[in-house]
Amino acid sequence: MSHSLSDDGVLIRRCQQGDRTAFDDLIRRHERRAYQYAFRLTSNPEEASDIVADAFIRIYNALQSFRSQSAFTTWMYRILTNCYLDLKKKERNRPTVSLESTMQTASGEVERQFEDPGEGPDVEVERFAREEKVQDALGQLPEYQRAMLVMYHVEMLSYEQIAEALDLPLGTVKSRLNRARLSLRELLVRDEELFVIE
Amino acid sequence: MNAPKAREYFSAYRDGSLDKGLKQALERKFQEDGLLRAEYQAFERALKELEGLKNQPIEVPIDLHERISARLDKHVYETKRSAKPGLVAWWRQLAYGGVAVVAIVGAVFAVKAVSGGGGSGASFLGNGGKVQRVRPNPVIVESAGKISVKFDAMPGSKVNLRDGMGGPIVETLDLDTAVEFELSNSSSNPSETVIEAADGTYLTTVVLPGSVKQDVPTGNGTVLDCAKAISAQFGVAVHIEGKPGDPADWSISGTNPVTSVTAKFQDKNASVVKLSDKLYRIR
Repeated sequence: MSHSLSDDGVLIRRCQQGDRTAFDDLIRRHERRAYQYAFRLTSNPEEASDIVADAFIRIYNALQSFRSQSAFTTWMYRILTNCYLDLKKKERNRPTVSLESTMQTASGEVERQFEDPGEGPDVEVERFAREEKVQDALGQLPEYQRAMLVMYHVEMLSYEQIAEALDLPLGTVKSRLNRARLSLRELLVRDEELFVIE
Repeated sequence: MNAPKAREYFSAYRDGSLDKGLKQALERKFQEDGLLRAEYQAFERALKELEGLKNQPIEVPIDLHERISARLDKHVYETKRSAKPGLVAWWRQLAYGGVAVVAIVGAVFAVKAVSGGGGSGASFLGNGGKVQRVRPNPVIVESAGKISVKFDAMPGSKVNLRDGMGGPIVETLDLDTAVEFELSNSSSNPSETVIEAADGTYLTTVVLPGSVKQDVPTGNGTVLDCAKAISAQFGVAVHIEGKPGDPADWSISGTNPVTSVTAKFQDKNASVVKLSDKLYRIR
């Protein structure tokens, strides 16, 4: 799904003039991408939905100061990342994990986190297992590293966009990403069955 | 090149952004050190696996839009309600006030009847009619060059301090007792601290100067940008009274912030007020 900057720009100007319908359109335009990013950070549909809702409230509050010099999506990633970091900060004060996470889909309410891959072909099962391992390894990384890796390798943001989203110098983004990648490798090579050292 | 140094170049090597000399040195190192080569291969595989996640379908909850809209509606409603009590709230307050007045007057007469004293009930009536403040009121102060935000006690209330508009919460203050919190900025550029109530209601913004003074003599953007320009030019903190996101044009010439700044906010002439040597307010 791609959106032109000018479309966002028109909607943002209308929002800044107090048009709430335009803000609703802005949400519809970006909510899917926002949710996918949040879900990749948390692996939890409830938390991901909360992060996205919090982020759009912050965007609504701060939209008057948005000046369209950077892309709206870059700004959105910045706010989503901050919402995610705030959520994790709060969680550290009350470390509970919900095993009951469910989500509404077109086919009803389903459990998301502990999905059974079922009786699919071996390849599917192996692919699923690898994805699980990568997702688990990501989950073990510090939150900031996780956000950077997902932004670059999954959301396909450039180094420049990440620098803008996280308000960091470009060199810092590159060196921190290198450290994050090395940490990810460390975690993944522990699973010798899936990542045999040649 | 030793192994730790070589690892620092893994990302740049994979991106193809490593300069020619370093690339050759790293490739020589890979030929000499089989373990390091294996490490790099594992590094590449890990990133490939990570990149595979983008093809993994993520089902978006069908009620996501409704959830976001419901949260936003609640937020907008609460913000409006706390900013300006509506007619219903006003009538309710008046009705409760009336009941309280009747009760207090009754009590005063009862006390008078028993004691026969000549005390006045005016102070009771005065207290009964007092309107409670609904939002914390931040007061920005300067003492010995340090900028702080002060709040009176408001039991049960909290405020959040954010690092920039839409930025992370850096501090949550509990207002069970009166609070004074020192603000700081360790960066070289001016940065803003946004103060908001626990429900997200915006309260105020303070711009603190960075460690480096810069000349930003003219510009256009927002009130916040103007405050940052003043802060950068004069090395002072600027408290923004009003909306930081409103459009602004400004020019700065001279050494005194009060007389040097000519600014227009939303077609109105802005004014800069000196609160102390290190703290100014724009409105």
